[in-house]
Amino acid sequence: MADHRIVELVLAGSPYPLVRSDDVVQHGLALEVPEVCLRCSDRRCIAREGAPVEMPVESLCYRGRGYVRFTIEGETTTIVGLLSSEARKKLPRAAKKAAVDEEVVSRGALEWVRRAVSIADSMGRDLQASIRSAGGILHDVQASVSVLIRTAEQLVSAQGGVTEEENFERLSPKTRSLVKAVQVLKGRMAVAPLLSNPEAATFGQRHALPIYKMVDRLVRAFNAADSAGPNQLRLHGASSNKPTGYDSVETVAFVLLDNALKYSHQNHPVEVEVNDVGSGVRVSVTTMSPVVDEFERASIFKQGWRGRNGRAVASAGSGLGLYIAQVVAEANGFRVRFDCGGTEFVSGGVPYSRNSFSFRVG
Amino acid sequence: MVGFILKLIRSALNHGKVDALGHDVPFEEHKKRVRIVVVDDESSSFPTEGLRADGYAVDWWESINLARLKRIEQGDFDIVILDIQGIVAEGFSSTGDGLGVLRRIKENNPNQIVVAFSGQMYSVNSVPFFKLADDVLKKPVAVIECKELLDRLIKSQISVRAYWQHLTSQLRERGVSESRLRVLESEMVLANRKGKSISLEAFRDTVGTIESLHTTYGWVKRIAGLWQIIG
Repeated sequence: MADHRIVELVLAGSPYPLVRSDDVVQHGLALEVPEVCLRCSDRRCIAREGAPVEMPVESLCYRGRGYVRFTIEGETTTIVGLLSSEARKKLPRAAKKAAVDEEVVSRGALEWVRRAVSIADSMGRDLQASIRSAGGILHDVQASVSVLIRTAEQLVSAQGGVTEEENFERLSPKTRSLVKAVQVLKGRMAVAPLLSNPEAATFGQRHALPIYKMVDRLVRAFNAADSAGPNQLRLHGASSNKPTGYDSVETVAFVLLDNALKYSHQNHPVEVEVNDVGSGVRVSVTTMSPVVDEFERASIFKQGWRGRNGRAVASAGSGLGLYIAQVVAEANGFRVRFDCGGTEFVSGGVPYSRNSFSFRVG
Repeated sequence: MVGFILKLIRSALNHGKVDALGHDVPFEEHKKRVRIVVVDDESSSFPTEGLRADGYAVDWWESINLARLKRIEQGDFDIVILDIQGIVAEGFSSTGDGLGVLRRIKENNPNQIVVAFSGQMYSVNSVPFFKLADDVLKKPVAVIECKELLDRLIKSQISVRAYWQHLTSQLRERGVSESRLRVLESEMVLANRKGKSISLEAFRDTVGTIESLHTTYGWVKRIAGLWQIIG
């Protein structure tokens, strides 16, 4: 099974096929709009149904041009204006002679497509094999974390109180910190699988989500686990709505809070707001954190991207958290929004502003 | 035939409804009657003891074989929590793992609630397993998440009314007449009043010899479980 990210890599690294239209030679991939030739009005060379790569280019217009369309992992590419040998043979004699070069280029384009699909398939299989190997190691890590979670739960329940909250309060501060650190670790482990399998964001049933309770639990976990650190999360607002969504919505909140603690300037608490909006719930996470330059803002949710000022403040980071958060948000039918304020001060040579990530469920 | 006619007359005189029984049980009591089995080769993965301490009736199997699969198919459990890897003791799973077991359970009884329980969310190959299940728990899991999911399933899908609908729907699909369904209902209500459940033999006498008799009788057993009736 191929991976569309590999397809992008293959396509970007391979020479584009060329298609000649009259005296103009153009990149085949650029011809995804009806600009191959303007000699007919119906543009049948851009039909909606796709021809499999294995078949010859289907001739669809009076000039014998057709197209090939191939799809890998849901990503579709169409190359139009191609001419097959069979189509060229059917052209009038003069046109047939003139179309020789075009047929050669079209054959090259088809061969390129076949190679791209074959390479993508092969690389996809290799990628899946690597993921399986990594999965074996991940399985052992999960087993160890499960033991930690069971131990933490037993520590809490052994306090003899009536409720879980009461039991938790009876623990020593260090034990409370340990229990919450295990919860945060568990949350981090939920993020990684979404990178290799984004469809996991839609596993399980959509159901009423107690968003405020969910965020409150995360805030308490981060605060208790980070008791030695300067940053704290402050939760505000009121919400009783329970919009429908997958459990993965919690991952969006987790990533934003984790991110906030990482980049927030010391001694500036992270402000978390949860409020009802109509029948939905809006969550916002606001920090005093490094300015994201205007030209960088469009990239903030891209895989592997990290801002210049953010890198200066926290050198370690994968640039994957916000990407995954947006993938999960879209799977749940909403998007995470980023707002960056103006520079308020400079610290350690890095400009800081009031920055906010927010999303609305329902 | 005479016996059936007598039952039919008795059912006309007895206006009891199966789904009217057991409605007034508080949730905390109701959840204790729901029978749950966890199939996972690693005992620490699932918070069995934590849930038992909270009143849930949880069994744990480290693997599944034909005999245990039959117990599931014959209605011994309301909820099955199923791992994907390392749980198949014999070669009866078409895929060699939990997906094959899940497919068999669902082919036999689509209304059996199965929760996929695995940490393999990273793999695209696991998608069929998670999508076929009724719900999902991802490893590693906290006890609070298990409670929230179980309570949600119990409130939405586990009731005498829901089970009665599954039972009558399956019986109608197997050609059992409405008159026989009325007799069955009457017999179940009468048995409930005596603190009993109807036997497999009495069930067969009433509905006739039908396909997948044991699987369908499993719904009678599940209803008896919610009524807290044994035998």
